[in-house]
Amino acid sequence: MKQSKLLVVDDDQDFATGLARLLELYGHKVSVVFTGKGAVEAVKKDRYLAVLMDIGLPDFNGIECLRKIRKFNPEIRCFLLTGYSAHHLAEQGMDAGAVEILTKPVDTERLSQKLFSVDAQAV
Amino acid sequence: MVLAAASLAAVVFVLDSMLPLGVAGGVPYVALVLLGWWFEKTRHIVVLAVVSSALIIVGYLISPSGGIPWVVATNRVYALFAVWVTAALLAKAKSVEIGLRQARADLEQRVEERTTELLDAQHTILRKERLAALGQLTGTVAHELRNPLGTIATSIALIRHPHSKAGPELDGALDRASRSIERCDTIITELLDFARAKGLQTEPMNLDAWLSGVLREVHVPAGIKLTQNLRTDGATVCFDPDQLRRAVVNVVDNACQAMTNGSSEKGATASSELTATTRMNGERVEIDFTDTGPGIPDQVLPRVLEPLFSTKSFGTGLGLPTVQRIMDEHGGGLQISSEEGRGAQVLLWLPLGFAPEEAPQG
Repeated sequence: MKQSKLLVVDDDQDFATGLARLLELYGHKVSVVFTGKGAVEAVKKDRYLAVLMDIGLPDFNGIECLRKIRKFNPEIRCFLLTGYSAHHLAEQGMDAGAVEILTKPVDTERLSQKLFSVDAQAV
Repeated sequence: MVLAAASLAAVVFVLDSMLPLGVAGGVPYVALVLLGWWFEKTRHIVVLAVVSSALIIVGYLISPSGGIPWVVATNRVYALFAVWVTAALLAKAKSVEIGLRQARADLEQRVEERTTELLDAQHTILRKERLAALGQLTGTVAHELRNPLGTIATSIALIRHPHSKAGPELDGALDRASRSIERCDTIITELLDFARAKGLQTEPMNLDAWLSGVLREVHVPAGIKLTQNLRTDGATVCFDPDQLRRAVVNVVDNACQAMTNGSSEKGATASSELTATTRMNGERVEIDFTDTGPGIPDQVLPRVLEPLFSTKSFGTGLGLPTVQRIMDEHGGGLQISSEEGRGAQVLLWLPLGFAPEEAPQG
């Protein structure tokens, strides 16, 4: 199976690292950054299929960050992650181009399958 | 008042009917009308004026003659005039007084009604503010707990995965889970500390000796030098050691986190230092923590004591508000000063001679 690249963006280093390591076990190729600025730099340098982005980043929020990275990679699929209720952010997130808003803790197995189906659609 | 009026009328009438008052006859009846000021209603003044008028006329007819008759008669007429002018003025004054009394009563009632409305509105606002604060607190705590719970969930999934192998990968997952559990515990502890209503359990203690012990136990990351300048010369201060320990540990943790984050962002190689100083300052004893971290930005400094405000990646934002609460309960205080790029100073102070309020018995 082709390993499409995923980018995990979260300022909680333990959470981001744990999620990345698990997704790698599921068969994905994952990079991790801890800031919005780091995410923009990563997308400028490399092509990612999808980004899993925390909304509450220290420099700018995930929705704002998504708008920035889509300028460099309009096809990137974005899953926004939040510790709050997803409802009040749904409209803003979808307007910015997010595929889905997920509430932490995430069902990683389901997320992995979704990422594989996104990958398959991209082929 | 009726009895007084009747008595005065009787006395004046007897004097008028028995003595030759002459040109003075009739004038004393004005005094009867003046009594009307102490009656309740305006019409009572009119009644007194009518009675006075009648007595003036009767008195003229039956009193012994004295003086020139037409002059006496004229003066009786003047007396009648004086009685009615007096009655008119008194009636006007009385109606104004009655109006003022009524207006005052109306005003008092409106003030009472408006006060009740304001109190109700205040209770409603307070209730809504409490609910909003509770909502915000609940949202913050839920958000803060979800991250470590997510880390624990991924760690368990990773450990269970058929392809995971013993070694650094599993150790990493276990370490992340362990840290996350500690984080959850810290969040819950911060919440409980902030909300605790338990009174202080104070005892007189040597502050320098006590603080030295606390600072020996507190965890300071590698690379940070902790310096103690304890100079109260063995002053005995009354405080709750458990509560003050929480405050001190919170301040030290904040300073260490600031210095750790600051140097990692800037890549600085200069050593980080936290200095703890105690001193006497008039009627208070001060504990000063000064660090060499990145300082607090101007726009953040006014908000650091605001509950739920946090600039950290994770945190409930209740740490410093809890420190402030602890110091306030001791009758002391907390001052924070900082300049961005030049570290921060946190000053905790306690009053000498502090005696906590007695808890109610039973």
